[in-house]
Amino acid sequence: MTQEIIDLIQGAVDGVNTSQQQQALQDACESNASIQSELDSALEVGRILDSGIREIQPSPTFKARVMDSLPEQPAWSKTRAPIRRRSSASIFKLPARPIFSLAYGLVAGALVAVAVMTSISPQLGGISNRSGAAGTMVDTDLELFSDRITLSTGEDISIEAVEADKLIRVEVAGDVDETFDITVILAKSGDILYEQTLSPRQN
Amino acid sequence: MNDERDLQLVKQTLEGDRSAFGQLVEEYQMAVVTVAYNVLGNRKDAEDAAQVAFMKAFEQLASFKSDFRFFSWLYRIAVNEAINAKKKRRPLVGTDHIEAESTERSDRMTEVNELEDRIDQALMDLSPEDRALILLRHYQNFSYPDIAYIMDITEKKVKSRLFTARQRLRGIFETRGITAQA
Repeated sequence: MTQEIIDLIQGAVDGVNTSQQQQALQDACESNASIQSELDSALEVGRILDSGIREIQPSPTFKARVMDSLPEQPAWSKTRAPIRRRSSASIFKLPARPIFSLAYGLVAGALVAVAVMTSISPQLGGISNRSGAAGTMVDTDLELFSDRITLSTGEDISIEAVEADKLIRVEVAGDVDETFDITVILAKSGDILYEQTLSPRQN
Repeated sequence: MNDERDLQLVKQTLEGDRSAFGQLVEEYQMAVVTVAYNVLGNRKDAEDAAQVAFMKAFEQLASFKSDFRFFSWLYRIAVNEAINAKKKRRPLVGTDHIEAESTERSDRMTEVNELEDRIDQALMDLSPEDRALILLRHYQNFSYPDIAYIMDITEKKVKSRLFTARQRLRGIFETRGITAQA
């Protein structure tokens, strides 16, 4: 049997022959009984396979097992650009790098930067003419959280969130001589959904 | 589920919505477990391989390109995972038959018809790659180009291997008296 006939028979089994190819196969079958026999056998194999391959129903817990096995923070969650929305009242601009660091540094689980910053704000209260402060909090289960805090800072404010095991460390540094309101809302994924930096407050 | 919906769920997953990926798992778990079963020959190994396949799909999701259907992409991962798992297993003679018969017997007694059972056994006489190939064509009805992509071989190779696998099955079916009406 030629390769051409084999291809035509295969095409017939898989239902991909054109009408011309089907006609060519039919002609070949009429002129050669062994080709007809070959075609019949091939079609029978195809029919058996089409009708008899078993579907396997996964166990009821399969999906849960899969979902539980997924990494909390896949590699792509660290590299894609965050969704950013800036409020119209942005007068004071934070340096770009720390804000990106804030987004990228968060664990993709439950973390909200504002919650972190809130937790350290008491340490910042009363700070005057210092160049830095730091705070630490354990990862929380919060999915979305928003709040407003007051930081006493200077123009060179930088905010960074750094993943270290299950701890998130937030550092705030700057010359402290003015007060700002900063609001950041992060989704569970670490995306910045909303951020706002307001004016130096007139105390 | 259509391709557009799949793409939307992929997008939502990449935006941090894990439940969107859960929907994809829900949709394709049976197909993925089935192909893994047909390569590996028993349910436990099949579910393990399918789980790893979904995990890899999730981890590599950002690399998914919509040139191919998500399902084809997922299937490619699943087939590779199942074949690799098969290669890692102890090379015992007749393992597929033993496991397929012993671990699945109770299920089969109650829920599987005889034809499926016999075809199952016949498929186990093929190589894991050829079993996957047969499944892609006859269970999922993938096109030749899709199968070529999933198996990472040329279309020409798909056709020639399908031909060889079917010829082999034909001999097995004839020997064991398996017909479409059985």
